[in-house]
Amino acid sequence: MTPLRLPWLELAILTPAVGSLWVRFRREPAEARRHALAFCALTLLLTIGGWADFIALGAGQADDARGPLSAIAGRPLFRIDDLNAPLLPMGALIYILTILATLRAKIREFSLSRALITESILLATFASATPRGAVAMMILSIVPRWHELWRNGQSSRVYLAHMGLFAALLILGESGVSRAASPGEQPLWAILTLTLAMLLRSGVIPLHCWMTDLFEHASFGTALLFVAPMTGAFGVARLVAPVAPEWALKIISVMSLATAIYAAGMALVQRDARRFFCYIFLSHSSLVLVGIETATPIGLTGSLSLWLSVSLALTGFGLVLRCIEARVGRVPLSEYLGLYEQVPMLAGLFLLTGLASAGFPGTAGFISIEMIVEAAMEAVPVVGPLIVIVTALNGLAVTSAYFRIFAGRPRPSSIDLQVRRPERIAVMITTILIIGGGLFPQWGVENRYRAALGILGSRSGGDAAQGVRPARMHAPGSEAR
Amino acid sequence: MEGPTPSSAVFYGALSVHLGAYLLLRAGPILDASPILCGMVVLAGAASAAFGVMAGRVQTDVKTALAYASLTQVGVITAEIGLGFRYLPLIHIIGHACQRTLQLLRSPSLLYDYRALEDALGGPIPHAPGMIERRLSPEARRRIYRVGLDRARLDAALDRYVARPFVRAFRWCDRMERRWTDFLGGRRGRPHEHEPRRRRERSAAPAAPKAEETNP
Repeated sequence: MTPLRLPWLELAILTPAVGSLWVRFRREPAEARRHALAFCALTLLLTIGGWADFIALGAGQADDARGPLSAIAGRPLFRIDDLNAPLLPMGALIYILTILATLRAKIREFSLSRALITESILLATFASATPRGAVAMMILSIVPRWHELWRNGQSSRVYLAHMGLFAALLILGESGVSRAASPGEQPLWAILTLTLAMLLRSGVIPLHCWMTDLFEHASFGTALLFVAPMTGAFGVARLVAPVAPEWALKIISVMSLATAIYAAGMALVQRDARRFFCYIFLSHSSLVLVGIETATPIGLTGSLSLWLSVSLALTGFGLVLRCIEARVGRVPLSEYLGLYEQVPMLAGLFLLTGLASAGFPGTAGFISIEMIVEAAMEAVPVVGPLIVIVTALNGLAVTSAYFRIFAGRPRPSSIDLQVRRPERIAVMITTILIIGGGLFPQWGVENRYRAALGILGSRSGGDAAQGVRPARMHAPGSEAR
Repeated sequence: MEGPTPSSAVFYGALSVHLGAYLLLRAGPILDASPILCGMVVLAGAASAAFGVMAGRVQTDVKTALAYASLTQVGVITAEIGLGFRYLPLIHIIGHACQRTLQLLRSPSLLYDYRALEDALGGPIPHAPGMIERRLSPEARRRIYRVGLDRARLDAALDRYVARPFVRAFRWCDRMERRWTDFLGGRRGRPHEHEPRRRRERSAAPAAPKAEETNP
């Protein structure tokens, strides 16, 4: 396998880990925030470097054989391919935007050190060369969030019950799948448990309550960082899709569609902004799964594109809500807050990111939704209109929340609510990416198309000669065998 | 139509009001394959146009009257699509979007325009009864007027039979979910905003002191 010219992936994973330790011992919150931002920026640059190097190599996939960790382990631990190449910078971007939009007043509640270590774990999950590595990282990512709930004196029983079940199913399923003698002989129970684990992690109904609970009781930033990169969708694409038979994909598809409709309806009746955001997110992330399960090039391409656009748009959307929360406390949606006069920029970004996530024309999500609807119409004609209904309900929910938060009689405030400079930078970056992705979608769609072919290639056994590689990662030591 | 006039002009006059017709045009191949569906589209379009005329003619504010006029035209466009035309509705959409945007933008100065017109004519603008108006009996006209004024009670029906059951069902789900997570998380007795007001107040209010506590 082609090695990267520099150990980009390992450096990108180690940088936030080192940063976490470094930031932990900074006493001054402003200084800690500055340093954390520097580590995040460096991580983002390293992930972009890895992606650029991967494109320049022109190989189907490349590994990090020259890295220090690989040298210690004696085999490459991390790998980059068409699927994870843009996910790594996206993950790093979500973290830097979140930390950038964290006000000084909130630094004591939102642990920067913990955020950096979770960034390291997330990048390691996306870049893992083996399914076992990805599974281990997914399970490890549960711990920091539990730690936050525990430290803040919140009940973590809902979170632990769901995540404990997720970890058990994941370990069981992956061990069953990896023990199969040949690619087509994975036991049924193993595929089923793996599928169930990923459904649980994605928050598919009726196993979604952990997500609303996390949003209600953890800090908004922590909850956002846990769900926004859509690790569950990654697990489905990486671990389930290559081995799952048609019926398993159909189960995921039906349950995801039901979740998308249910969550869109729930978002419309919420009276608390955090729960509202959680349901909007759940609805959109379920649409990503619906696309993955069509198992057609156009559906998969749409789904993988939607993954990026929804992650970005909803990160921006979540950050806007978080910025508002930092000013007025928990945001109720049962009354008109009239905040437009005080924070017009946040109002604009709220509408832009919310509608972009629903696939508004001219934004990054438009093409993706179009492709998913088209693929769904071809696969099962009933699904296409249902997806349109879901996006319409989501659009209604966003517009309704906009009126609740920003419309109404302005209330005088004794403190300055204006947007601070770091928040403005985060807003501008998000806006540029959302509109840029909508106006020039071709390059991104082509990239996702190659990744979709990779996943489909893995389902049909792979076709290395045509550059269509199995997306399913090799078991450890398989090359040696 | 409650929003500012320029945004009404752009969104309701030009863009969003035509999205349904545009989607129907995109779904042209499906319509071509089913004459029954085409018939239903024609019927729906014609009914919308008739309702738009009925309701629009009795409105008392200009923007609402324009909204119903838009509905009439969109109904006609829909009927055209159902009849198998493809370019005609497209031209109709473009023409209607331009005209309606202009009308909406001019609507705040309607009274001024009328006054200028009447000054030019030297008296009130003459009103000649239309063909239908001449043929209908006063009773029938009164009934149609009433239906138009009530907007055929469609808003109330929509609210009663679609919106309320929808909201009620999802609020019930929300309550059940919260109870489940509270039970799972060991958080009992938390008041909930979707609970009926009386129950919420009861759970939020502190327990009343007992008689022996207040009177030792």
